[in-house]
Amino acid sequence: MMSASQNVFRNFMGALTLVLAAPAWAGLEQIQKIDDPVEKGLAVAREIQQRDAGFGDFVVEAEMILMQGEQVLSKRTFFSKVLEVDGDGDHSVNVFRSPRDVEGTAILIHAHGLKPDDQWLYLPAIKRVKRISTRSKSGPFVGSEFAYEDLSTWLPEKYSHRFLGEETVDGVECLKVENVPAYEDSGYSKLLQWTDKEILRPRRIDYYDRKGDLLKTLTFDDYRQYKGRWWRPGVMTVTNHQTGRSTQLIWKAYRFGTGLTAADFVQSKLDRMQ
Amino acid sequence: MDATTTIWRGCLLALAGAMAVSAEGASIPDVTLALEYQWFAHEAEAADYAEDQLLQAAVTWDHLSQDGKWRLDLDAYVAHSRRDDERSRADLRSLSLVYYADRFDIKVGVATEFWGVTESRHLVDIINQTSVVDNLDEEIKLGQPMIKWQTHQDWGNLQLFWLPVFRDRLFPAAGARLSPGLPVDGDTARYASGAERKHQDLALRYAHTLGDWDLGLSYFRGTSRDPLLDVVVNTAGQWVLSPYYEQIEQQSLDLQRTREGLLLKLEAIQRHGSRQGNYHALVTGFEYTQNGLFGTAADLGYIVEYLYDKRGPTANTPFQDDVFAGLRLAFNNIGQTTLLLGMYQDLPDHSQVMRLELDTRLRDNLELSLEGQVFSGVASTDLLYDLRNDDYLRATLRLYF
Repeated sequence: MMSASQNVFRNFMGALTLVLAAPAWAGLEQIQKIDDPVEKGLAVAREIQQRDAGFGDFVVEAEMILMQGEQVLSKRTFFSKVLEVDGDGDHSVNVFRSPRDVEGTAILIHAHGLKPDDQWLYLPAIKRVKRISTRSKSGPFVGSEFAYEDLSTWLPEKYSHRFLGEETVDGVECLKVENVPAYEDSGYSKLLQWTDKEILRPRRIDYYDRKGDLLKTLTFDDYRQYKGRWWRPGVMTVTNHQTGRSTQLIWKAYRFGTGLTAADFVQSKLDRMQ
Repeated sequence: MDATTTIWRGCLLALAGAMAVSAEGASIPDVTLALEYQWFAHEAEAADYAEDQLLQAAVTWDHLSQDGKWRLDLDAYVAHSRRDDERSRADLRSLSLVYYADRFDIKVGVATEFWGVTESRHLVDIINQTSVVDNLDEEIKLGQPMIKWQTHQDWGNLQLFWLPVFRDRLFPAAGARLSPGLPVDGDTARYASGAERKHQDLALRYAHTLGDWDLGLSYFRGTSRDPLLDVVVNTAGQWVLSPYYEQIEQQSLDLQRTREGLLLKLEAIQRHGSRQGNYHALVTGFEYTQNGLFGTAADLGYIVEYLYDKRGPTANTPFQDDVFAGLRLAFNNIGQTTLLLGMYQDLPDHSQVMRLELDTRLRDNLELSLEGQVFSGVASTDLLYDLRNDDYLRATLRLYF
């Protein structure tokens, strides 16, 4: 059981991270001075990571709408719990509320950056926990246009970066960086990412398939700031240019700092993560 | 007071407790209706019908208290089969109350517990009784009254079970399809323990994850879930099979190594106290998944497992020296369609069983399942010989309200 003193310690460490991280924020001006596009791309990636570091944990409700053009094909609802892990990928669990045949199905992920993630699947109908293979990064997430890799923890070391310039996306000034996956089994040859200069969060990502053709575009809208620091989108929309299908992912009711710990993200607790 | 009364009394207590803690709850029970149609390909001597229908209605209510400390899990169903009276019943898969603390939880009531890693057979899974009448695959379980305590520690997950009431295995009714040569007469059931169904069973399990390895070590002491079937004459003067439930002690190990697309699996048991002597059994093999088949979104899994039981031909399982080979295709489409094709091959007598499972979501509240088995070249010495004319296909539509 987590004692009050551990809580205090954790809050203290959180505050400390904030203080230590603060000087790095001035980094954007430093970044502007870098000439080498590869060095600059990496600097942008590190800045993105640092600005979001220290969030601790959050819980969020999600609704996914699968569409063909304007026609709604199917809907899914789930909630996610995410725990930041120092020096590694996040721990997360997604639990489905609908469709009804998958209600209660939970996916536990211990993300590891370049190394394959650890994943467990909980099937409530037979109360079975299955450790599952982690290679299907490029596979669709529950039949949607999102691939597993699109929704996994973002870490700078998962890509090689190249700064391409500054561009405006929907009136927002952005840094444009080309990211080439450094991990195995990605479905993409490259990603073009436009990152909001103000909040250092993505506004748009173009995904190119393994043949080098434009596959899909992901846009991020309705950003809100939580706890005065962490920015999260309200809507993410991915459109597949090759099939005309799209998926809208609506995030609701973000709650940061709910007190989750690593002990909550173990397979033996999957049945209580409902 | 018989065992059933004990179960129901326990359930009512659990329900009353749950009502008390969930007074402010907003969640409502869900209803599922299942309509099943089953076709048999050949005529059989023992059963004179070629098709059967089953209608099942289930109520599930999974309720978590506001503070996340208490949970009520209800899963009850009523089913009617046109042909097989043993499938027509009302039962509880679950009616339990759980209390969650940070490092431990405790569950009281009727519940289901799954152990194990392999696909072709669930050897170490012993807490719940199996309904063979509902499916030969031994995956349909009956709710088990229990008190379960478990703790979650850095050194692993430790579980303790007290199982106060035993439930008999459900076999097809006399004159029903997929029956052994003689009907199983549950009224003639015998128990090694004088306490019969009220023998107090105990189980202990330790599970832990170490890097790529997931390990489970279990111990069970009590009434064997899988009876031996003896030929007897019942009170009506008919020759029948009579289940004999032994008192056993069983240690088991389940192990899985997960690395990229390849899963290596092992389940092994060591059983003492059987009248057949002490014996061991195992299921071991691998599952390899090939992602993005032919440039599509589909994944194809290859499953190969070997099944062994030291008792050989005298075992009460047909899978005593068999190889299972299967293909699992996950389409990763909107309907999340999956298809499993598998074959059990008996090595000594060359009997074959082929199995098909298909699941797909037709609409967000409507699911279709197909399931079938074909028995091919079954040797007269094989336990499956009585099923040689029972090739079937079963289609189930599940409607969620």
